[in-house]
Amino acid sequence: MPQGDERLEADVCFVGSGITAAVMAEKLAEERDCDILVLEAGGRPAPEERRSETRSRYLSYDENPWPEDHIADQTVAGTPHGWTPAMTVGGLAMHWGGVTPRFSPEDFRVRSTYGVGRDWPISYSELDPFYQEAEERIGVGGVQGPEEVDPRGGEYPMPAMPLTWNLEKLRDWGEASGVPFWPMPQAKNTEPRDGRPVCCRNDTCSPICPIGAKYSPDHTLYGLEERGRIRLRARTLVRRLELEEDSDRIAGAVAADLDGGGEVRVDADTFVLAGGYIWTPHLLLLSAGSRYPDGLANSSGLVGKYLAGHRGVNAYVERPTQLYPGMNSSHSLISKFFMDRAGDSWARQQGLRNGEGYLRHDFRIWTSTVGRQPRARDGDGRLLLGDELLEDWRSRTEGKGTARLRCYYDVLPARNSEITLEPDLTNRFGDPLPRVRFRDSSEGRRLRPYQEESIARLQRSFAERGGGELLGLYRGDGQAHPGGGCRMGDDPSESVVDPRARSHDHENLFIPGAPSMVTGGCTNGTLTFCALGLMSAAEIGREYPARGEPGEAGGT
Amino acid sequence: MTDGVDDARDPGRRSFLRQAAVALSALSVPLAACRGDGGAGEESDRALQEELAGELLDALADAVLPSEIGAGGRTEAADGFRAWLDDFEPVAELTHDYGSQAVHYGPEDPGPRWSSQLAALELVARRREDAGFAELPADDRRRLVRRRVPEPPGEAAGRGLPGNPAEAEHVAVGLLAWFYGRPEAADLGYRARIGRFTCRPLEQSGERPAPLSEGDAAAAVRRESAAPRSRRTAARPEPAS
Repeated sequence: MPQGDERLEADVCFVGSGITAAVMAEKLAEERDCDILVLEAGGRPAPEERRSETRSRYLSYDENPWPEDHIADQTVAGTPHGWTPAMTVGGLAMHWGGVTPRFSPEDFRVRSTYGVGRDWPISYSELDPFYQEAEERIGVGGVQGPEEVDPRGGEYPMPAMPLTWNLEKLRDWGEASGVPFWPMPQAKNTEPRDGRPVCCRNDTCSPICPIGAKYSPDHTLYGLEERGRIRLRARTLVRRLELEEDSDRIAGAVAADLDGGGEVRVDADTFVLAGGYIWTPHLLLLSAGSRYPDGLANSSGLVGKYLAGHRGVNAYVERPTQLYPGMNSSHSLISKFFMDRAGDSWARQQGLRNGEGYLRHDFRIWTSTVGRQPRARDGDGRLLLGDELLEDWRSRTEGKGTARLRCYYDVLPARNSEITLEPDLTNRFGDPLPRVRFRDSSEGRRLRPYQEESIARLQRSFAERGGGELLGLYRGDGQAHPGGGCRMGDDPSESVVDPRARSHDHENLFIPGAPSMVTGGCTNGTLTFCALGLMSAAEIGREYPARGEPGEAGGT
Repeated sequence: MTDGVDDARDPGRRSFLRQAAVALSALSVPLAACRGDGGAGEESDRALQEELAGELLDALADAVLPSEIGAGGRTEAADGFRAWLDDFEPVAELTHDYGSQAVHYGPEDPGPRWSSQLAALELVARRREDAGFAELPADDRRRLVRRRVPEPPGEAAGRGLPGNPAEAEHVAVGLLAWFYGRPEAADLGYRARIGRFTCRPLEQSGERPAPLSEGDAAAAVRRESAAPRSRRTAARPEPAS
């Protein structure tokens, strides 16, 4: 073992401090008697009492309300869709919008249901209690949609965010088609909870809630730290994991103190890699050695492979309905109707799908300001000054509004949709950094034109209803909310971790959350990352005695 | 200084009016001739130049902002714009959207560029109209501004205001972008009390915003100008999806 300048010990060591780590650490700290250490490469974000101030700078000058929340030389080559350079306590969720839809049951069984992609080794019903727990822990408000497309085992912990004036109008419009829409569930307080206040529509959910009504992982982590339940060490970059000499267990993590403190060696019974879908596979690949020359946990050769996400089609529709900006901009309507066979049947009956391809997607509606902004120049290019500008603006705002329609469809993962080490791009330590390449599988490539054209046809049909006009339709190339890279499975030759996110190769190594995903689903993934993490935490907890109860590890 | 976000700033280190005064001086705008003031040395000239710069900005605001907010509202908007500019941090780290890869840094301080343009408006008014910019009728000031604002490259028709006012090529457009980016401007544009970016009870979400009465417009601008910092709306991105 190398001798570090500093040596730390823990029962459970988390590498990364994003939302998955936060809920897992909280669960373990509450339920189990174990010493938890959370390592984070980035720094600590602005404390809660300064967020009004940093938000004010954001609003006035577009400044980052989480300044220096990245590490300049920890960057990524290639096309890292969905990657924000947010290396900070709380991770990328410090920037998130706070929406928390669940995947649908069919997301977990696309192969057995549709004959495409790959099934997960767990079912929706197995994950349901952990979805519920995740919703309880981060505080989700919602209302259940029709049970056949939005099943759930328990009630939402909080009432749904009320619909705005705009969303009431847009729901009427959307539902006139026969498609059910309901409020998007969100991790924002609709009643006081967790020592945090009720949302008051400050309307900057992403990137910053000035009052803490939106769930923020640092709130959980700082609370645990203050109560002495975890140790949280920021500015500590884990550079490699090392094996025990005589077994395949992980012996330790070797890190660098980024504030010049030298090498930090961490010995722990259990390691949890929670650095997200890029940095987790990256660390495993960096940790290659003589016994695992292709990287730790990589006997399958699948570390960094099968990146999974979803791709969006957006339409902007002018509606002959007065809508207002800033009522609660991140609030929206969701329908999971098209994630189920019911939506496919409906779309075929409407003549909106005429192919035989696989297609599932969510459907979300917001208010948008596209086409409703003040302009510097009129349609003839003339500079608008004085009353002209205001009159021009009002001519485009009065009695009308813009709706944004967005559908995510799942991109079937390809083996060569991957993260590799990029030898020509290194950090200050000379460690090669990741290269990310998203690629569609051959069946995904074949399906894509049908999928996108079908969604576009659906969105056009909505635009035409009730006198609307399509302002624009955009098909994205990137994949949103990505995961994968260490996918789960029962077969060690075809997966990196087991269904509880334990490495097939190293019994004390867990890789929960986004990297363990088999497919990217077709709606926002954050709640699923948390639920997967909690499922894994339940497994990790079995190794430690219940809190307050003396005894041996290995309880049920 | 501590390691905080704003502690590294010194809000008093720049002053748009001081910059504009220097620009007036550089362009040799003859203070004495236009003001009937004999001048009493360098210090007095600088004070006069700053005063003139303030009047120029007020005159510009008076010409390019809407009449609906009243003369007082336009003057106070000019004050707010000046305060915004004085607190501007050059090349600040900008927010990176959820899902976006790059770290971006903001523009340089637009103050020197804009102060030169303000001085140029004064000079061109004197050369063309034989009068100071502030002395011209509002229509004439607008005509001069149109001549001085460069047409942006590419398609100009239907062009929006810059999302970040500091990116505006001309001070007049910067002022417009700043003014129309604030929540009070959204209230004006929609003739409704929306109150964007302010704390509003959740239980009122479903209510249609109350209509904005005529007096509300100027009052809203005054409230905003009195606030320590401005707020913008136009540049807000679509919410993360």
